Amino acid sequence: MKNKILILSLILLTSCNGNYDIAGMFYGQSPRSDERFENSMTYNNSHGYPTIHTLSDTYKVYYGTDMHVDSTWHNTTQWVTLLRNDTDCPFGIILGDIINAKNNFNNFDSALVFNPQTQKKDKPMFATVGNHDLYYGQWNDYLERWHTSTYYITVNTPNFKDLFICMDSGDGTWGRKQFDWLKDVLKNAQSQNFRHITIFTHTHIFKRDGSQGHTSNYALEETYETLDLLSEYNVKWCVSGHCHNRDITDFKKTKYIIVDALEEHYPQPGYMIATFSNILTYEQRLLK
Amino acid sequence: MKTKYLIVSALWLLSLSINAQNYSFKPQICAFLEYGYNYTWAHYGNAELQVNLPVNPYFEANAMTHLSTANVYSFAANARPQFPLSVGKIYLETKFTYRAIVRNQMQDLSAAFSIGYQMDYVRFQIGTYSKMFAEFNRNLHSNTEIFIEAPSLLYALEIWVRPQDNPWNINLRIANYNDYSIERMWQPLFALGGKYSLNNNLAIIAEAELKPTGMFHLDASFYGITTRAGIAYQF
Repeated sequence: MKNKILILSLILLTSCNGNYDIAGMFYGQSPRSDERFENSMTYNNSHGYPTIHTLSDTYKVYYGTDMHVDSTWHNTTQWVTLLRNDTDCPFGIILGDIINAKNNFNNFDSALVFNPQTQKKDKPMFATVGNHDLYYGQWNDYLERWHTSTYYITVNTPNFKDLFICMDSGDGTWGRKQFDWLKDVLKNAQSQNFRHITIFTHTHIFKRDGSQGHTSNYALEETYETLDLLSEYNVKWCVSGHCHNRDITDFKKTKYIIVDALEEHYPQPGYMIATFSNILTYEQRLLK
Repeated sequence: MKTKYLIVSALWLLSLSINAQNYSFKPQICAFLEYGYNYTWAHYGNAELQVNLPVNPYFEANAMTHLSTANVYSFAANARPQFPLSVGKIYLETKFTYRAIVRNQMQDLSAAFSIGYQMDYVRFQIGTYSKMFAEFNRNLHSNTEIFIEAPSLLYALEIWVRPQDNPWNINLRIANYNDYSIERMWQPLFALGGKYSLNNNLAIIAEAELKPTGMFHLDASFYGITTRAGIAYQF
């Protein structure tokens, strides 16, 4: 009897924890992948895809992920300050799980406010949606701020151009429509002589160990199809978060990188600095 | 205390031998045709052939092949020592699955070991599995790994509405594996099936299996469904 009460209490406590959308375990409350893709395309079609110009063929991109912002956002502010003070960095990329649960997007906005006292230059930030950003039907809150979760960025350097493709994997799939879109983008990119093609998304493709226990990734069919597609079109990197622990896997022609989480109160929050030159290099750094 | 253990063990062995006397060796062949849809492969059809060999009351073996129009070919083998009890049976299952994912020039191999308990209306199974996958044309110069996933959980819970020997039955199952593949522990498969015995040898079987995605993202959605119909012939 005592055990039954204990188990029941645990279930009730978990259900009441606003960080976990338990109903979402059976049906997510935000629109599903195909509908989110349509929302993203509606924005892309009316606003176009972003283009960044750099003054040098070599530049740095800061990747941050899994901030899980709730009531505090020190780590995110610190990371944003680092990239705004790095003169070689034209923009930053956020790999999802921006917030932890309900009603925290306003807090995250505070982390992005430009502070001229401590930061040199305001820079564009690009994001993709994570599963926590979709909890409790928060897709609209995400859209209000970021407008799209499926898009590409072209970076024009003096002599080259690089392509960054953002894929929405908030519910553990790229979905059928988005996958078809990716195929088209990659096919078209073949004739455009990009120096590097990279992808960023929230959910990792590989999961080597059990360090994050329950975090899930894609169905096997989708995993294999993705590995094949990315290799076929010479995608050099697929960068993701979700797992909270850094990991690197080379499979076929593509490198799959998982970036450390920037989560507040995380024992070793980290981020990645990627250097885009004639070769691609990366450095995973701890924040503190 | 020692005597008590000896008596209990003797009674258990006696119950096994009584069960063995009632046992008859009846190999079974099952054949299925399937239709499926998922986000990745869209529409596809499968054919499956399965052979079950109950060698003796304490050991069964099973082998199957599963061919898909999605250009994926699977082979699986199970070995299952089992121990009949006065109520239900305990079994130990060793399962190997190999899949040639020709469409993606890849292959995967999974090995699982599990223990299960089956009664008339319910079956539980829990164990561990490991999976590795690699590209077909990997060689010493390949810039790629044979990716080996850390051992993870294998599980199944199945319930029936009628006892096992009833001519018809309906079952509901949640598991992270099926006849031809082992999914990751966070990717459960939900199946609803039915069986109807036409006579002592022949039964017809139908099943639908739902594969959601993102359940452990706490943001689940539909990923795919497979439906199958087939026959089971017991010699």
